[in-house]
Amino acid sequence: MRLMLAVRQRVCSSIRSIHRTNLFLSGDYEMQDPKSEEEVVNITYVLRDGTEKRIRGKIGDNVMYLAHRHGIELEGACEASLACSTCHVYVDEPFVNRLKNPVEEEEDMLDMAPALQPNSRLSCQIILSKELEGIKVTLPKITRNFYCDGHVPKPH
Amino acid sequence: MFCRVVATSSRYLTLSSARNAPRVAVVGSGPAGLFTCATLLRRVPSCVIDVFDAAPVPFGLVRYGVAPDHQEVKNCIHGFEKIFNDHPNQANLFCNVNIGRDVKLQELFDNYDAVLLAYGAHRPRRLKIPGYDAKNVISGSDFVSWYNGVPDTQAPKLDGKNAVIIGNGNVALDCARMISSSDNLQTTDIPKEPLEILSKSQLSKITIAGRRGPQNVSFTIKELREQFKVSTWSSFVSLRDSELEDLQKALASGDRRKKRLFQVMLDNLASPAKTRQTKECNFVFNHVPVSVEKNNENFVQSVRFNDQIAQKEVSYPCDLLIYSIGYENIILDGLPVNENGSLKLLDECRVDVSSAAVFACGWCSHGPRGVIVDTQQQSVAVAQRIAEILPSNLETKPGVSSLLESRGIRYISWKEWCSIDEEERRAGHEMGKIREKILHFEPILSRK
Repeated sequence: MRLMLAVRQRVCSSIRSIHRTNLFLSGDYEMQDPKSEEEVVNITYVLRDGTEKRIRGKIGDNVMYLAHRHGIELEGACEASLACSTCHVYVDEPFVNRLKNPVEEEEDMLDMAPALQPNSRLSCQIILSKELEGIKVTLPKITRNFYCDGHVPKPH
Repeated sequence: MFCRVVATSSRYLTLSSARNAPRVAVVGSGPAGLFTCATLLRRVPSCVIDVFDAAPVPFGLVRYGVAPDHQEVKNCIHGFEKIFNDHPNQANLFCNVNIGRDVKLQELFDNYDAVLLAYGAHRPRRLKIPGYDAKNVISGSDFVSWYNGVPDTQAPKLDGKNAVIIGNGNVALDCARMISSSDNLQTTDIPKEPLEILSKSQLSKITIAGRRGPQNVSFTIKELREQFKVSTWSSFVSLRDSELEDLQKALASGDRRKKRLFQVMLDNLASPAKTRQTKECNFVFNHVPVSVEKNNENFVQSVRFNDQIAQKEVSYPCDLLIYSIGYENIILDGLPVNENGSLKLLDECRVDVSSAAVFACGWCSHGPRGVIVDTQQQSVAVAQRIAEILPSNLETKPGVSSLLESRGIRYISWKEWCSIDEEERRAGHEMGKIREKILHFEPILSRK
């Protein structure tokens, strides 16, 4: 049983590195608590109102699905298939360089993200590892200017 | 006796718990309407929401706009399903109900605490040049509706060699990709009729013509890249010297999004290496459409353009003309409009109606711009605004379901959609695809 679980986790993390697959990407894995202290990876989400939420995540957790588990309002419309940018976050300085470089598909979706910054990433592409212990991600503020051509309505 | 008491008391409980519930009407069940519902139910957990759609089935452009080879984009439907499945007593769906005809807008104003307009911006702007009424001249929007299985759409003829697509937005790219890569569609939710026509297509040359320069395109990068990745077609960008210069200049001064997009265009300039396949998709710019020439059977034969660079008229042979030059606003009767015909808003989402709390979200509020993330973000902000004004401690308004019953309006509820959905999936499964969409709803609508 334990062996099967270990195998599943290994399969799981290797599959996670392959993009565009829905296998194991449904967020089920994130519903499991860490089984030991060695597995724990702490993460802080800075919510849209500026409050901080600290979560005890674990190795292999997908940062978007982990947020969903904990009721953090981070959308994930395309379910981690790199077809939208609704799970866009800013990654704090020391950690942004520890992440794997985004693949072209992620870069293409980041191009569409409102309020893009140099430290922007799609949270569905960040998988927790020991190297990321203490990572902090910030949810961008919701912009109120929806006029893509730059037009701003006159104040009344 | 005992049962009766229980039944009565539970009914009483339902009524009393619903007494403080504000009721919101949402016009349109596409992304703008349903993303707003999702946030609204989080902000005001007691609220009751009635969602209306003129189509017999829900999800708007996610079902009828997103291309069949972009199934991942349609994953947002899972979130929309949760709205109705997790709130069976609060979120109600009324499809096949036309607001304005079956229910008057004023009746929504009278029977709800807030009304959200999220009905899109659906009428394509017509190409009004001489000859535009030729056969096989079709708007991009109609072409998209056709391959996505919108009821009562007319199939184009794809038995000629040359297609011309006027327009430089994603609709133009979607149309080109459907024509050039129908092999990828077998297992998707494209209905069998359009799939058959697309797979038998004789088209071997597509010209995508923009009326402005290459630096003015409204493509998004993923969709543009996809066209260049179609392996059985040579797709390339044809630029004259001055256009190349314009594009390079724009690239140097543009933001990240533009820089990366323009680079994709520059990486795919016409060259001998790019034109190996016999089938070609060519992007040309600064071509202003002038007229459509027809043959004796009234079919489109060629399109004339004013070439702004060469400063002369040029003619392209054409057996299928698709134009996608934007949309016109559709404003429901009784709503305030600006001088330019757009919906009159007081701020980014409040509609200028004094007798009721009316909001707008998505393309019907600001025109057909932006992708799903833009609509989703706006929806969160609009839901927040609606939540702020919803009254509390008042009697729940009645809504219009009894009005629909009394008028004999045959609507499709969430429960009924679920069985249609199941039926479509089952039919699709038998054919080895995700779903086979129902194209004719009359048999379902005539069942009561």
